[in-house]
Amino acid sequence: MSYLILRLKKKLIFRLDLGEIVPDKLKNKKKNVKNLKIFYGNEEKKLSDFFSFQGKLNKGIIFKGNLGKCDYIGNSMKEGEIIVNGSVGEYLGNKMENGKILVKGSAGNYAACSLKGGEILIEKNAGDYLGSSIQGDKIGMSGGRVIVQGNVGNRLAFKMRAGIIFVKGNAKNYLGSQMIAGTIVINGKIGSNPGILMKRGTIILKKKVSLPLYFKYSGKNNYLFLKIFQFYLEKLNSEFKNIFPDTYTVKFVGDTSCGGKGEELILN
Amino acid sequence: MIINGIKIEKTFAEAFPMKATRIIVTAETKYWVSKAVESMTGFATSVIACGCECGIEKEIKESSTPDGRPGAAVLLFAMDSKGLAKQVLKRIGQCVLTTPTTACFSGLESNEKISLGQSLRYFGDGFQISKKIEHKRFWRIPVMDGEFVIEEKTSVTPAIGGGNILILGSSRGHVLKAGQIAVKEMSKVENIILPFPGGLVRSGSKIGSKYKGLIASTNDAYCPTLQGATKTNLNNEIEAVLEIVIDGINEEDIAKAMKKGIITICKNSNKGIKVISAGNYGGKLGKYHFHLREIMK
Repeated sequence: MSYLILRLKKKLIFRLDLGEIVPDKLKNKKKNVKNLKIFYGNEEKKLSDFFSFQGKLNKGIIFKGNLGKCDYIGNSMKEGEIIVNGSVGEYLGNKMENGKILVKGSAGNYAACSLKGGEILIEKNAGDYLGSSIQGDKIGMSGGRVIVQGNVGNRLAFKMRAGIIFVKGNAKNYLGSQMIAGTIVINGKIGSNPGILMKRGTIILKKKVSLPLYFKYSGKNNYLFLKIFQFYLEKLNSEFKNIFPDTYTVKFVGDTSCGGKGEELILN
Repeated sequence: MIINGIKIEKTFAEAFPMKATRIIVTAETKYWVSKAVESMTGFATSVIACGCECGIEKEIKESSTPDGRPGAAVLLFAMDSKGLAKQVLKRIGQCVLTTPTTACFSGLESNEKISLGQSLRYFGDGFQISKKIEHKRFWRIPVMDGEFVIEEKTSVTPAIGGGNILILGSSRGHVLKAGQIAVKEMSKVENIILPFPGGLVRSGSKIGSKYKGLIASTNDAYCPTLQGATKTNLNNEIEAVLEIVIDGINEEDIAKAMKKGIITICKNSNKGIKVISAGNYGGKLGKYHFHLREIMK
């Protein structure tokens, strides 16, 4: 078996920090995995107190059970795969550098926070601050790809610096606020104030919206880079297939209130 | 060795190391692709005075280009990476950026990189936008017909310049016809270009000159009008010689192109063509030696 399967044995009352349980860190601790120390609330416990073990760690880790209170899954991960058969808590893929995470449920707040590389696929919804900076940090997500098949919360991509976020559902208020660079694609509806105080970067929307006042109309044109983007992304993950059916779009620039040169492209 | 009445001389083509890159140019239509690459590959026959040697390697179908539009691959060769980078910047900047609807991409992957759009982006005067996918960065430079998209860097690979064959015949007409047929077939080989106009060169050169400061001069040993006046490699039957020069990114494909050219000539031009030879400098100039008879085995 290629995956180490960790099955949650009990219902959690407090939050469980799984930041150390990533493939690259476990690789060198194969024999001592069960005794690894983790924090449950403010108490230090053993990993085996919460999980049963099965299989071998070759390709990666599979988590089973209701992990809604498990935070920092995939924290600073550098290689390998994590598959979660259910929902996860906060800070999923925090500072992750490479590898893949697949969540077959929803993710809490701060997923893909300060993500540097790799890929995160969330099959249901994600909370607030997806792909954002950790509170107090200057930059948010600075590379990699995030795909959310459901909806996302507020402040998506706050201070995002690079990479791509693709949301197939809706996004709430303040998406891309204070964005520095990078690309966000939203298939569904969005809330208020998209791209407010953004410096650079691209927000691609597929539904008509009312933009903040400080975004200026910049004409219609054929944006070839969308096609190039699509072809490259399709090779990385089939989820991106035909992400931009048309490259002829309306463009708005802003946020001009802060001298921003960001762009919002409205495909519809 | 004689094939179909044509003597294949026991000699070799002498080639030397170069650096090369492949650039993919795309545009809205094939017409604009060809305009861009024709312009880009102009005045690039020889490093002696052009700074680089370049040519159109092949057409690329829409399904195989990075943006799904018609394209062409251009190979550029120079003596070193620095020289190559200079030529890439000039040629893309003046010939591809200027052509309506074009975009430009790297067509090679290696560890050694030179700038493609990295310097050209400044044409955007601060309005340029970068987009990064994985490890590739693209620049979107605003131009009057929309945006010019160009990859930030292109890869450089060690390459070989100066593979060649000489076609010796009883008349200029015969040699020209044989040369044209050979060029058509040789151009089908990938990873090579024939940098001279129409793939043929009539002014084959030797190293040096009696005139001070001239690094190359006419290859008098193969000039039919100099028989008797200089040490010649021709006999009385020969009235014209043309050369096909081949630059490539590996030895195998240069040899393959040479073989294809010789076979084509021997098959189609047995009447007027007397000898197939190759140009060399006694092995002193280049480390790559393409022995005709070994190639034809």
